[in-house]
Amino acid sequence: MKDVADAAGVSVMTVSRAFREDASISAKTRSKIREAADRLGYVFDNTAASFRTKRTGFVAVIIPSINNANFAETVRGLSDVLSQNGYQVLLGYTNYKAEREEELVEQFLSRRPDAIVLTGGAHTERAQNLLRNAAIPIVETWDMPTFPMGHVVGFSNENAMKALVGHLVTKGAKRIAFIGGDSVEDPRGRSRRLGFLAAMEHFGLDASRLIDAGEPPISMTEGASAMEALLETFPDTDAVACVSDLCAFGALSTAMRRGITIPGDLMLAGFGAYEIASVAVPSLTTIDAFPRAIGEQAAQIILETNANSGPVSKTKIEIEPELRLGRSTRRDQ
Amino acid sequence: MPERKKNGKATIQDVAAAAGVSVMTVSRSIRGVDGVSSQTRTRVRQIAKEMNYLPNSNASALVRSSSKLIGISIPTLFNEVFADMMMGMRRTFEQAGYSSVVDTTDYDREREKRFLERLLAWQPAAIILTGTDQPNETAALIKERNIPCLQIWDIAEKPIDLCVGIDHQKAGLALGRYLAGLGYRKPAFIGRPMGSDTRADARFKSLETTFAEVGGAVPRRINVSSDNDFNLGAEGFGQIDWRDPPDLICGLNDHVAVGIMFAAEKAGRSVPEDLGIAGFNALGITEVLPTRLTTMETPRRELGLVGARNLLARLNGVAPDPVTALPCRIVEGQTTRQMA
Repeated sequence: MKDVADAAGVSVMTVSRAFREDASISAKTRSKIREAADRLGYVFDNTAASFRTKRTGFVAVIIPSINNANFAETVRGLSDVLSQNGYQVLLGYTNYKAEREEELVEQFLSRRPDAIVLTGGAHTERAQNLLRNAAIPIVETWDMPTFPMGHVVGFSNENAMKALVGHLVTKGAKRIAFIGGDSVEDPRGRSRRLGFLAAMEHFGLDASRLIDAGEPPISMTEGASAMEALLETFPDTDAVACVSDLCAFGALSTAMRRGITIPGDLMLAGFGAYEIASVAVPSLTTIDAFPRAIGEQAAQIILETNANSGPVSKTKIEIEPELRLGRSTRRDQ
Repeated sequence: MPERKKNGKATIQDVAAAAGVSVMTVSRSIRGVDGVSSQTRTRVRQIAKEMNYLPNSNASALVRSSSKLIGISIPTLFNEVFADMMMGMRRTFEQAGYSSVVDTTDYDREREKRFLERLLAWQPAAIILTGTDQPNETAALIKERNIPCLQIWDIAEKPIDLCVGIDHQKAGLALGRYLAGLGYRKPAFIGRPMGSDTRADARFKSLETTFAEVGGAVPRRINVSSDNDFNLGAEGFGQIDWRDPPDLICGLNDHVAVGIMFAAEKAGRSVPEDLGIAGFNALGITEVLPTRLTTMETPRRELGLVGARNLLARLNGVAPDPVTALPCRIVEGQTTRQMA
């Protein structure tokens, strides 16, 4: 088929469509392809075609935001693996709204994707029903849902934050504050805040230093104002954990403007191992949840599930996030 | 409460029966076309929703006007510029009931074409492409189907259909003239290899023009291949020959410029005393940096807003201006200074 495509100067997809009498191919293109096929003696394999008609060759991926390097990495991991195997990845973004996810699920399912990848485990009831009826592989990512819709590639945001708080405590912090994770629209942010609360309780420390950052996405600017609020409300804070690195970088800039030394006066940590964490001065201590690996693993599940056409058990892959130490929490004791 | 079929999807007939109306009425209600009272439409839609009825878009797409899908092609998810423009468009499209599907091209026009081929089979209501440098073949795909198309972020004399953008050449000239006016004469530019981003190339060309105007040195171009703009700036900074130092470094964008700032700080070069730094776009990070970056502010949200409105007008049968250019604004920051 590749030869026919080359001879006719069109893509393989176009050749396939032309033989399937797809309406999107003009009569002119079709006859050009037919001529090329006849010349090359190419016979269109009908069994392959009927097998393929069940496949549409695209995978739908739904992410909360298109302005977030973490989700961008996951999408890249997905696309890298899937495109090598002939799949196209198409994206929808919800802007952290469950109703938008429902609309996107509906839009995508009506076009029969070969699989659908979702972010997190919180979906509207209707979206859940639509997904249950879809009979295609479903992968939920970035979280460990209690009742998964299908396959899962994620991690516990709560546990990851617990580990981060543990690090701050070993560095001698006692009056630790948390910025963000206050919105119902960001379940992962909330889990991180829960992790903070649980860890503080575990260490017998006061967990009341909570600063809201508002609706997601939390930008650097919002991180900067949240830090202003923190310094006003709890001036004796000795360490701050932020819901993300972007938020933490904003907080860092506020500290610098106010002449507060990081980590001397105050230790600071983020979440997500964004680029900014490694280039910031001082570099930020953060949690790497391996977003690209999340995408790659999800893609592998899709490939394996679609290769075995029979019923496949639900796969659950839990990624182990890693603590990445930066200078923002480096204190010699 | 209507019952849903067990082990199967609700069909249009099921919805019609449950609502006590004809199949045609269900179809019209779902597609939102005239001929059904708003009361009936609301009721039918509600019932269809409760039954989890999914219209088969392949069938409904045969009726061109019913498609509420907009296909968007952007180069990458790792760039705030495209996200900002999409944020600007979002509300307008949501209010008008459109949903969008996004493809990232990694600046690869072949990939964009493959996306378009799939999208066109779905009979989208409209298409949005980033930039105006698509090959003729891609333009022809869209033109021959007469689908409304918005090219955003750049302008062209003859867009495929509509374009809303900034004039990158002009923006580059304005930034260059401002910097030359401050007295800088030995500029360097840190960016990606030529040809990977034609808009950045246009701005670089403008820098060449402006510094030639004032008899300055030919801008030195340092190319780095990196996904990470901050690292790109830092790596580019590392390649500068300090035996013949530049007096100014321009970054491809603000993130590159921030990478340069951090690298300069680590290398002990004071900004702006020893070295001027300028970016492009006025991205979010410039709002929090303790040192205000000199840059050119691009109206990304507005581009999205105006683009979405023009496209919507086009979808409603009104003919908006085919070419709309919005102005940029110099941000006089603290990373450059008036030279003696």
